[in-house]
Amino acid sequence: MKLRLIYPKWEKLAEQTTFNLPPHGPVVMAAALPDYVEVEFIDENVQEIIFDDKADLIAISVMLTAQIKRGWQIAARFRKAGKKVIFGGIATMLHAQETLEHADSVFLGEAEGRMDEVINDFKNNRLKKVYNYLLKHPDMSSIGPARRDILTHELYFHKGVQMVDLIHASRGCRFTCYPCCVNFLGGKLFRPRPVDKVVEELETIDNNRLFIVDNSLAQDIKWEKELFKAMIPLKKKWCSHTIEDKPEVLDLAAQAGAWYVYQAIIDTSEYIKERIKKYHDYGIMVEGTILLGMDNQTEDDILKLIDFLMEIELDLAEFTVMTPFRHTKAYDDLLRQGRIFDTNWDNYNSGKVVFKPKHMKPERLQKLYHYAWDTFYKHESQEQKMFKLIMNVIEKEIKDGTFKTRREDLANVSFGNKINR
Amino acid sequence: MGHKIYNYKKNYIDEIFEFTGLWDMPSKCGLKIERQKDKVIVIVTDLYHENPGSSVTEFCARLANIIIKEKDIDPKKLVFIHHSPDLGSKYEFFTESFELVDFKTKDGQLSEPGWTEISKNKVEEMLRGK
Repeated sequence: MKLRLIYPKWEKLAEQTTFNLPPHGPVVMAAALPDYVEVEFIDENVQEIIFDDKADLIAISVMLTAQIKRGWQIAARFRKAGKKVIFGGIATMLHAQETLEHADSVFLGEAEGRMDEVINDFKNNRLKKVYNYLLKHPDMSSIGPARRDILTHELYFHKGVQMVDLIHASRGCRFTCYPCCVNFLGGKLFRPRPVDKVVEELETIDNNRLFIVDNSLAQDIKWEKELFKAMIPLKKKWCSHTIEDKPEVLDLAAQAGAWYVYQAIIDTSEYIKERIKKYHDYGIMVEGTILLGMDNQTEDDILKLIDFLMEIELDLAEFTVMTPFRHTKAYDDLLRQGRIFDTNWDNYNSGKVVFKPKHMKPERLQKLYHYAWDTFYKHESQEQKMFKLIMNVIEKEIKDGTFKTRREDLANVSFGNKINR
Repeated sequence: MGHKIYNYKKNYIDEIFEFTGLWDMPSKCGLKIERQKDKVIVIVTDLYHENPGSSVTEFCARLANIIIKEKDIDPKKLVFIHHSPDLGSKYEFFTESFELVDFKTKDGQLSEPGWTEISKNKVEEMLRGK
C-alpha cells in the first residue's frame, strides 16, 4: 500500500532569511505507520506536488495555522480526483472542526500505536471521519526514531551547507503561557521521552547539527541534566528553545554541544539581561524571540525593548507580532473582547497584525514590527550575524573533530534550486 | 457530574464543575450559581492549568446549555458571567476580569455568545440582588 504524505507550503516572514528545515511532524508520524505501508513524502516548500498520483491514500500533515488553508486546497484537488485524504498534525488539531469539511478523515492527537487502526480502516473502506486521540497520550517510550529516510535530504542544503535536522525529546508542557497552544496539543503535563530513547534516535541522525524542537527543555531539571550528560559523547551541536539557566545545567548543556538557544524576550528586565549573559558565559549563543503587541506594551515600551536588545548583545533576533492562535488564552481573551478582525488563517504567519492591539492601531503595530527588524539588523545584517553563528559552530566542531566541509556538489544549489551567480 | 465544595445557603452553589468539552475532552471550570427571585446568576471561571480540556470561552454556548440543563435553570432568567481569575502574574493579561455573556436563544438552546466586560463591583452588586 502506498501513502503520499504531503507537507503544505506557507508564506514565510518576509523579513527573515528563509531557511527550509526538514519537517519534523511528518517523519514522526511516518514512524508510527505499519511496515507494509510505502510512504512517499513531498514537502511543498521545496518540491512540487504531483496531483496525478498513484498513491492509495493521501495524508496531509499540517504544523502551522498559516499552512492549513493550503492543505485544504491540496485536499480538494486530490478528492476531486477520487482520492481519500486524511489530515493530521498540530494545525489540524487547532482547526479540526473546519478541517473536517475538507477531509475524508481527521486524525487528532499523537500517532504512535494508532496508525495500524487508521490504515486498516482505510484498507477495509471504513475510514472514520475523526480519529480522536486528544489527551490520550501514548507511552513515551513508544516514540521514534523518526523516519528521516523519507526526506530528500539534498533539498535541505543551502550552498552546500546542510540545514539542522529536527528532533524532539519531550511532549506536553507544565506552563500555561498566554500565546501558546502546547497545553491544548500535548497536555498540561510535561512528558519527557526516556533519555536512552532520545540518544538512540540521535545516533541514527546523519547530521551533526540539530534543532531540539521541544518548546521548553527547562521543565524537569533532573531529566534535563541526564539528557545533556548522555548527549556529551555524541558530540552533536544543537540549538533549542529555553534551557534551565542554573550553572550546572548550562555547563552540561555546553558540554553536550549547545550551540544556541532561542530565548523569549518580553521585557527589559535585569532578569533577561542576566539570563543572556549566563548563556554567553558558557559559550552558548542566543537568538532572541521577541513578540510585539502584547497588551502590556505601549509604543514606547516596544521602542525601549528594541533599544534593550541592542544593549544585551543578542546574537540574532526574530520579531513576530502577537497572533491569537486557536486554543490559547490570547485567542480566548481577544475573542471575548471583540479584538480579532482577521480570521484568514493564511495571515496567521506571525508577521501580520490580525487583532486590535490595546495601546495602538493595528497599522502602527505593523510599522513597529518592520521597524524592529530594520533597527536590529541596521549595523550588521542578518547574513553577517548568521555567518558569525555558523563560524561559532564550525569552531566547536573543529575543536572536537566533527567538522565536515560543505557538499561541493551542492555549492551552487539552495534548497533544490540552482543559484545563478 | 459536578463536585460540590460547599453550599452554605439553599439558593447558592459554588463548585468545580466537570463537563465533557470539545472533542470529548474531560474539562473543568469553576461554577457559582445564585438563584434570585427573577434571575439566576451563573458565574463560570476559567481554571487554566487546573483544567485539562476545553476553556470556558471556546466551549461557551455548549457549556451554558449543559449548565442550564443540569442545574435546571430557566434560560429566560439566566445571567451568564464569564470570569477570568487573577493568576498572580505581573502581566495584565493574567489579571482578573468579568464579562457578561449574551446568547441567542432558539428552542431553548443558547448559541452565538457575545461578551461585554463588566466590573467586579458590578458583579458583586448583582450577587447582592441589585
